[in-house]
Amino acid sequence: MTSLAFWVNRITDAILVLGIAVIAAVLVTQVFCRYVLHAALPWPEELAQILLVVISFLGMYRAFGKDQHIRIDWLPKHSRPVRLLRALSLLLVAGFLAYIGLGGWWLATGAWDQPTTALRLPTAIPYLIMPLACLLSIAAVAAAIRTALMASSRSAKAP
Amino acid sequence: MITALVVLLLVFLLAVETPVAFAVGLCALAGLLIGGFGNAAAAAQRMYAGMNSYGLLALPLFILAGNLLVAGGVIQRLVDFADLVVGRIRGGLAYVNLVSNLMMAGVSGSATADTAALGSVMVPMMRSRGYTTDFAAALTISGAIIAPIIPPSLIMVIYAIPTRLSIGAMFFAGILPGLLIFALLTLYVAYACRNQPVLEGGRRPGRSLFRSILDAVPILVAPVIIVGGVRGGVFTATEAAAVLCAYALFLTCVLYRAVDLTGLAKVFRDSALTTATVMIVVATSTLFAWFLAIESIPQAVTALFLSISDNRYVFLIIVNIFLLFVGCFLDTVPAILIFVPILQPVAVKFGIDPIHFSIIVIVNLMVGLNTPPIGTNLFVISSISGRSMAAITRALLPLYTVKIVALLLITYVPFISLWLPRAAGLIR
Repeated sequence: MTSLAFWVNRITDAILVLGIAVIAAVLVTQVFCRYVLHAALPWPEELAQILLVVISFLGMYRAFGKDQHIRIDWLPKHSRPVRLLRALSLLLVAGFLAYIGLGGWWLATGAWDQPTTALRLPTAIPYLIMPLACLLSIAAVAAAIRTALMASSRSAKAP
Repeated sequence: MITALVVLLLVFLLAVETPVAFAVGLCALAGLLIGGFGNAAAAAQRMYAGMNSYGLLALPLFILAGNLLVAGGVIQRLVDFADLVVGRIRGGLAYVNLVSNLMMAGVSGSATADTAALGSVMVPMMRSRGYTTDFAAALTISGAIIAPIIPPSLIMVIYAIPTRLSIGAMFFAGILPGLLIFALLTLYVAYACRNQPVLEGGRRPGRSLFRSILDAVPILVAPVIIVGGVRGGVFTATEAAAVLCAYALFLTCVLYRAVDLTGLAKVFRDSALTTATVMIVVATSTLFAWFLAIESIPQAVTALFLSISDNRYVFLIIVNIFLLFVGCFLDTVPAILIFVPILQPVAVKFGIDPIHFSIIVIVNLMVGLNTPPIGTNLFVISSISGRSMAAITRALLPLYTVKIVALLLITYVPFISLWLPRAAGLIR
């Protein structure tokens, strides 16, 4: 399981690096084509926008594992009620992710025949990133809930 | 009724450290479901649409460019250069702090990123030359608020989403207000450091004058690319960001040779992660704004304001106070995406130029970035300097006064924001 998580994270990181690199590269290419060659390409903006959504959702998953999501950080770390409250709020977050993931899946299944404007890809493909990233994120949130609860039971046992 | 419940839920979720994006998303969803609006697919569609925008592409690009430059060692070069220029006068390092912040603002669009990057250099440096850590920390975060006001600005890229304002026009509108804040801060430094002994600052041993200038010049060219490119619509903001990225890559990898391939991959990954954490807030805030629109909150707020007064100055003072309050509790991105769709139409009804209003809102929220209990920059500088938030806040008290004076000038003198974009022909 740990090695599965390790490889999922490595692959996700590779997609993040490639994703942002390609966004920058195609947009620089587009500037070159537009202002130097005076002939803009039809696809760079669309590709970059799709990649932006992809890195945003996959980054959402990675940010859970690294505790990098923007949040207020002000409560005492080791108090038991605080940890229980955190676990509760993370449970709600998991519910939100499940709802959006499901919605994304429904969107994707209904969009196989809708091609995107420039790349002529089925719109379903970019939509599929939502259920995928939400599923991964739920696993990461579950791990965070476990950590919060386990630490809280440990701190309760400790004198 | 539903709105009141949702707001209460939001306060609770934020208080128990729920990530801002999901606190906002959960509340929007709760409101929509209780009201019987929308379904899972519609909610997912709204979130996707909120992210899928050409203008937002500037976000990862500006973040990447900023991170590339920091990895390339730009901060030390800028600080050395500033030390050379203003380091020898009384209170030298305090000015160096502000000048470095100003120069960094020209290539970076994020106050928090600047606080982290500059704070880790400036705070120990000022401490070693006899300034108190609290003063150094307070000054660093006060200078850092210039970053999103002077172009490039991540906040302006976000602001353009609900308002459809020209990012280029906002970029130009922010220049003079940013310089005004800088000028007022330097006046404060002159006063605060009047008894500071003059120390032999200036130049790091072993670095020639020529070398320091030569090091800084390529960095100082970067803002020219952005401002020059965006002027008159030669580039869109996104294109300017792409060019800035290419330039930053050239500086870091070719000119300074500061980063190898592994380091580069790390910079790219970190930039993607930062982008993602902001983008998720953008997506769920879009959901929240949808809920507010369904509940007709903007219309209710307009009616409320008009019932209080039909004087625009009264409206502006209420907005100032309200946003200072909001800024104390809420992160800048959701604050903009939630409140601007409500406040902007009212501002326009009162005859306030939307570009001017955007600068008022941004400066207002930037002051909030440095205020307890919840000020992102305050958290960052507290962890860098090792001082408590309370101690830094005490040192910040006079600086709040300076920032409030700047805010009032920017709010009530539209000329400061509007002259430059008008002169550049970006707005009427």
